[in-house]
Amino acid sequence: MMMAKLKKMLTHLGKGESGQGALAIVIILLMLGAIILTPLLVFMSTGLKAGGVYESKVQEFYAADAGVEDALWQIKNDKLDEKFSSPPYYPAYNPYDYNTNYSYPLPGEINNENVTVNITNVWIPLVSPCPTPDQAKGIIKNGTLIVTGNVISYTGGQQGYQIKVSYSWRDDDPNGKKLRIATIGAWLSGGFNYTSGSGNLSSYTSTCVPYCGGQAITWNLNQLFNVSGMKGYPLVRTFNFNFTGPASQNPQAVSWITTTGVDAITVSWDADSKPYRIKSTAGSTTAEAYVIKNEMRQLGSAISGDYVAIGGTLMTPSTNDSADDQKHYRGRLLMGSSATVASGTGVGQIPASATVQAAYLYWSGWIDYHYWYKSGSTWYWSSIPGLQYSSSNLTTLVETNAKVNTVKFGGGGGGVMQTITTHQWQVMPNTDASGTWSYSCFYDVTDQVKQLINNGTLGSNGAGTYTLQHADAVVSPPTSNLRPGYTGSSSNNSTYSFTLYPTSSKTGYPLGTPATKLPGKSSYSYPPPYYEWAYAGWSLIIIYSSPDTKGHQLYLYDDFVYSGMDQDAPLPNGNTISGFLAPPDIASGGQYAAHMTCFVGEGDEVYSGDFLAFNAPASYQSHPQDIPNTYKLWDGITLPSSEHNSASDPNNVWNSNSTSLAASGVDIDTFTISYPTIQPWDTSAHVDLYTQSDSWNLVYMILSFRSSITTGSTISYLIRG
Amino acid sequence: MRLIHKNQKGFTLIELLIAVAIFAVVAVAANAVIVQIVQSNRTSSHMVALRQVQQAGYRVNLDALQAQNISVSNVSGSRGFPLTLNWTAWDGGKFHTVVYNLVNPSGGLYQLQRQETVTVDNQTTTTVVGQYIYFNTTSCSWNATANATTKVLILNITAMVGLETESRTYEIKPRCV
Repeated sequence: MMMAKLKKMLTHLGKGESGQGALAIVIILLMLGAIILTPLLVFMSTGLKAGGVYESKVQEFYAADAGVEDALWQIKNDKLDEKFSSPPYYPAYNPYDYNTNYSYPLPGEINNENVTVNITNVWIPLVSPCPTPDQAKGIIKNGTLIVTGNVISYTGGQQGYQIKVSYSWRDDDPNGKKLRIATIGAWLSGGFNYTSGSGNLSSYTSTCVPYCGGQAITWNLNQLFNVSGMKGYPLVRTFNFNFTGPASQNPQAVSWITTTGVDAITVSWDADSKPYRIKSTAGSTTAEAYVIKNEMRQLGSAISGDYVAIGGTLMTPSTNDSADDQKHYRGRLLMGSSATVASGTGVGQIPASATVQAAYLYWSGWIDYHYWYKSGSTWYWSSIPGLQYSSSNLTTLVETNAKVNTVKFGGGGGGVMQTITTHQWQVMPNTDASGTWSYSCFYDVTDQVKQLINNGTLGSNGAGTYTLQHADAVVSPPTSNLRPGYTGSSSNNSTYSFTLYPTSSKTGYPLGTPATKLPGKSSYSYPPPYYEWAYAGWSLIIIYSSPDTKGHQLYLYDDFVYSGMDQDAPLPNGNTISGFLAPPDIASGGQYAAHMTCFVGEGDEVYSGDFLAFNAPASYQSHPQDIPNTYKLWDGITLPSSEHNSASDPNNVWNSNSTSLAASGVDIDTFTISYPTIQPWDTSAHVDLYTQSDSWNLVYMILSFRSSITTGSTISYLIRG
Repeated sequence: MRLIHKNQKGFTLIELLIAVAIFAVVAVAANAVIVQIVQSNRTSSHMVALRQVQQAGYRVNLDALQAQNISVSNVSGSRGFPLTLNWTAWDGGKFHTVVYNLVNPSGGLYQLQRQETVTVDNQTTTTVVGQYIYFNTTSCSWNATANATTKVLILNITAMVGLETESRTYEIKPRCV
């Protein structure tokens, strides 16, 4: 029926054709085409839209990820201060501000998206509320109560965490003795779990809660733990516990303590491990990352940048002594000494493009409390009260009686000298129980060095001459009844002084006691040979950033360590340094993979068997004395035959001589370490500081590795949108 | 000839041009229709396969970037599946476990299934992030012992719809591992 009607209609249309028929046919065809084409086009359009959405989301995601990368770069390269120093990126960056979002846009568009990056310092300690920026800065900069933490890898895959608490309590401050540790806390990053009951904190009640993507463990010490349980100066106590986690992941941790008894110090934390939150937004997608950067002065952790170390001795062998005595004794005190940092790109030089980030000054010496006093015609071996080592009055000993915590420091070789007094010092009694003692002092002279740069005394990169002198010059002429060299009014006068050489100027409170002969004697046969301990010296470490030294990591160890005969110096973590990643190109091109500097006092040329070995096979760890020379580092010093013994080589590395020193007296030796001592992709290195017949004090050890990574790892990453 | 010209009114030039234009459009459209009808099945298959690969790669990419721990199956013939990724959220401490598995519901091609469990909520959500997955050329690998810079999750994935296949290889460097 329908077909008949359609046929009739078409026939009717065909009759009397006048052009309208063609139009009708076209319209019908168009309608048919539309019916067929529309769903096809819709299908294709939907497909394209779906693909477009994916493409758009992927583009947004990678744009946001680029923001995270940029923020990581800013953090790794210490650019936050520079980035947020002036509008529009303001307020100025404050590393102790845990509430402010530091925001900036990426320049231009990434994948046609504007990207905004927010960086925030993260407050980790489970202590509320977090301190204000001023409070936080005061606690950390003051340095009275320092908390540091280190991950330790034990043999067999077990991992532990060590929390070191250092309290610089001055024994002349009665309030300081009231300090009590209330709680100790530690946070472990995601994937790592506290081994309940492990370590020396196991006797305290602990709680463990999920926190910041990981775990927070708090030990309640019930305020029972007081400073009397801590040893040495500063008072140091080490806590530890074990944890488990995936071997493929690097653990990150932050530790803290809360205290009572001293109002100014209620909390302290490991400020060297700095967590940041990075939020990067592109379109509707946000990437959020948490990263940890390990800052300076943390033992066993990496920082970016490189260093140069210089220094000088304050005591040197006397040319009036026999050649043999000059090998044993440093009998001549110097008024001061200077050392120069040269511009350049070699080891021990500072690049012209460098910017000084930090400057750390160390000085160290040996102090004897004896002196020769003449009564009538007889010389007496007298002593100065208050200058003999006693663990009960270390602050008085160091800061009041010996005053070795004060020096004069300056730049430019003869410029204005500034008096510096530090309260960060470490003291060790000599092992022969003679009552003599050694000390190591530290002072952060970053501000002083930057001031010298700003006023033109030093080059813009910090290059120039630095000088350190004894602080107090006492004008007190020698008296006939005292051993020449000493001045003083009476035998019990602790304000003794030495005549200085070669200028004949004088000073009080010298930074070391030189070897002393019985007047009239030509040799050091008496007093006992502990005058061989005599040394005094200083060293300045300048840490800088420079485009020429990207990818370096620094490790600074500055616990004052004594190394006696026939033993390995007891460095932490089983003498293993870890956390770096040796780049693959160290195997070619002849570039050194690392360099290190050690500041050692009292290394005698005449005694050998002392060496510094790097990455010796583990099989030697039980008998390091057998380590072959190929693993030993040497500064290459060969002394004149009249001075050196038969072992002026890697087996007498601590010989009171360094290429950088104007006079002999201490070791500030810099060594380069090359492939194959370090292999590509190495992540740890073993250091042996062994000694046989020589004894010496390690003031610091600093290493710089060329590394493929410059900071800690990303510990959490979240994509929203 | 007279008969032919009788009642002849003819077309104007404009009418002719319009008619030619209309016929041209119709001809092109008709051609497109014919071509699309012929090709649509193939194009559609391609598009569907591509979307499966894209979607699966995108999801695995997002999860792997966030993961703090990754493991793959070492069972022979498993082609690395199940792929397990987990992480703890910074805020709230929720522990996420995501397991990717190849499942074969109908005996033909496989599905890539994503199963996410949030420990705190104790809720498991299962979604299919890719269908029509061709088992023999789909795999994942993860070298947990490689050093940090070379440690990547590699996902090879192939979707097959009809006779059309789409394959992609994703190399993902997790942020937190």
